[in-house]
Amino acid sequence: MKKIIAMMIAVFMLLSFCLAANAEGDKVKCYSFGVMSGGPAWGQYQKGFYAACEELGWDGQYLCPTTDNNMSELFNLHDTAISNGADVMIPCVTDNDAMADILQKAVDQGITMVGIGLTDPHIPYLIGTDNINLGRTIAEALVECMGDKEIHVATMQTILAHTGQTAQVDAFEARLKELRPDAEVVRREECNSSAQISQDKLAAICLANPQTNCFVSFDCYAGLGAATYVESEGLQGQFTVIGIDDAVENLRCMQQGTMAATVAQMWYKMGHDAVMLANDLRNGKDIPANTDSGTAIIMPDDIDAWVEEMGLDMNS
Amino acid sequence: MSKENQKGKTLLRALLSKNELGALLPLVLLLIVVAFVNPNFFMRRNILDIMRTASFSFMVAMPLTFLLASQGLDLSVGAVTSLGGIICGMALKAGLPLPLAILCALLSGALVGTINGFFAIKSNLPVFIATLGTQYMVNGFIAITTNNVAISNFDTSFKQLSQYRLFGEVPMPILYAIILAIVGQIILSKTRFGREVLAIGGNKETAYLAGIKVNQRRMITFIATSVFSALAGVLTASRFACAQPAAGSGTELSIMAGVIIGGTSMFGGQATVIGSALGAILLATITNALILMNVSTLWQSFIYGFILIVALYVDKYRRKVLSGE
Repeated sequence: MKKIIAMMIAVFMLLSFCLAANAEGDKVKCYSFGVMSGGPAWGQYQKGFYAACEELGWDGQYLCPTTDNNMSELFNLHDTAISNGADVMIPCVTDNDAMADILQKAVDQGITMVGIGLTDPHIPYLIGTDNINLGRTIAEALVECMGDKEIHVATMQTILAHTGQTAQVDAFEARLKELRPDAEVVRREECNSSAQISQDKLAAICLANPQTNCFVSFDCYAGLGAATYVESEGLQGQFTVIGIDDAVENLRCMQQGTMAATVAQMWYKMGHDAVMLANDLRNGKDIPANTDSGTAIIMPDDIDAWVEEMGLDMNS
Repeated sequence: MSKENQKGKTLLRALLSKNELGALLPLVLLLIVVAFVNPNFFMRRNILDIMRTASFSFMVAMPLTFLLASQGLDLSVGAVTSLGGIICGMALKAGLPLPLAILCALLSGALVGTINGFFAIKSNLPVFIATLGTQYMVNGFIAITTNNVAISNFDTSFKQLSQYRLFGEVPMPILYAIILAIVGQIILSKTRFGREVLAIGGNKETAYLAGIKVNQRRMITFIATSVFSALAGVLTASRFACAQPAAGSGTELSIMAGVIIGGTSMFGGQATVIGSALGAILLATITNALILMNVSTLWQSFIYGFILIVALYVDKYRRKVLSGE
């Protein structure tokens, strides 16, 4: 037992030494935050973030909770970055009240900040998917896919308590009413990023509301669950599913005819441009208060071009 | 006391003696309510959907019943479910034939189960924290190996594992679950192994003095729990033709709740596989029924929790009456 403990201490000391040797004091320390590591969305964001840090010669670090979507851990990570002497932060604001003290501390220490996520009085500059724009774009994609058909739509988000996603769904409903006043929103649901829950709930929704003929996903796995429902019920061509993000699974569902379209957020661009904007700020340049990293509707005909442009591997 | 009264009391006692009552009674009450609000609930297709959802939970719940019965606990089952799907997906991508890929997934589960068993039995660590640690490690391993990106694009033969419908109607996972339920209940109630597991859960020291290989039996329950969790992961990946890194995330507590509500004691010594199946069906029914009754999503968690508490009270009342307190 003593040997094991001694070995563990030795390993820790070695690791600390290596990390200390790697840390270069004169580089700009830049921290970015997200609710999870990897994945089709945040994975792209990380790539963009690190690419920009490398271009600028900054010491970049992406931090996220060990458990996906664990908000209190996310807040603590912001605090840790401030204590570690961050020069630049790309905070991921998910709750203004809960993060107020932490962000105030960052302001007091003169840390340059460009935010992603919610608008916050502590961060005058924001980049990211504009929630309102995204919701409106999804509504437009749905209307385009439905043509003259009646619209009885169910929506599914990750969790109903997600302020940003709720804003997207609100904007979606508002735009849908503008474009198609006869459209009916049958139900708003949550699936906690589980395709299984999404499929099960959609089956129940369709049973309770048989008029439901389309589904819009605001969570990356909700669309997959809905597409599986369409396939298992043989509803291709009769039931329209709109996905979110350009995950390979979504594109494949579109090729198979179980998903009509997907709306991609530009995650790589978001991660990359956030760092570049922070650099401009540090150099005294003026930057816009809000930078929309953009969205794109992908239809089945666009898949090949999109895959090539984004360098996606359809065989993964 | 009149004969009718006595008959009634005997009947009530017989009913209360059923371990499964904790899950059965709330389930029946829920079915009665939903029958009035939306009779569509009883459509064959919907019942099959509910059974399919319950089947995936039950594949984990069945071995977990044995584990709890032997005073064990495992918080890593959700992570191992994800791991099973991921390992199977990676093996298929590497060109291994389907049976070998499934075997790899099951072996990965067996490895995690062995580690859990080692922590709990050999090192005598508190299982709650030790298996929580394993959960984090497994999730971390998945994140490192996949970068949290799902694995997809599988052959049709893999999809058929879960997507095929027997007689064009019954999804295969239901069939697997029925077989598991029968085999599990027989092992628990009719075999020496089952009786030994219950004896260990009742009192480890007494079981040891009675000549039962306590550590070996406990190790088997840990390994079986992880192996079946990995199997559930394989079948989930097959259902969506996509191995998701977080497929089983967060399912551990609800599955355990289903097992306990079904009549298996958290403190060991008492278990029922059929009860665990009913527990899984109850949990799957609640979500489905609430949507069919058009209950707002905002209320669902509250009602879900409320029904769980009711189920626990029913179980507590049953035990109290039976013990004559």
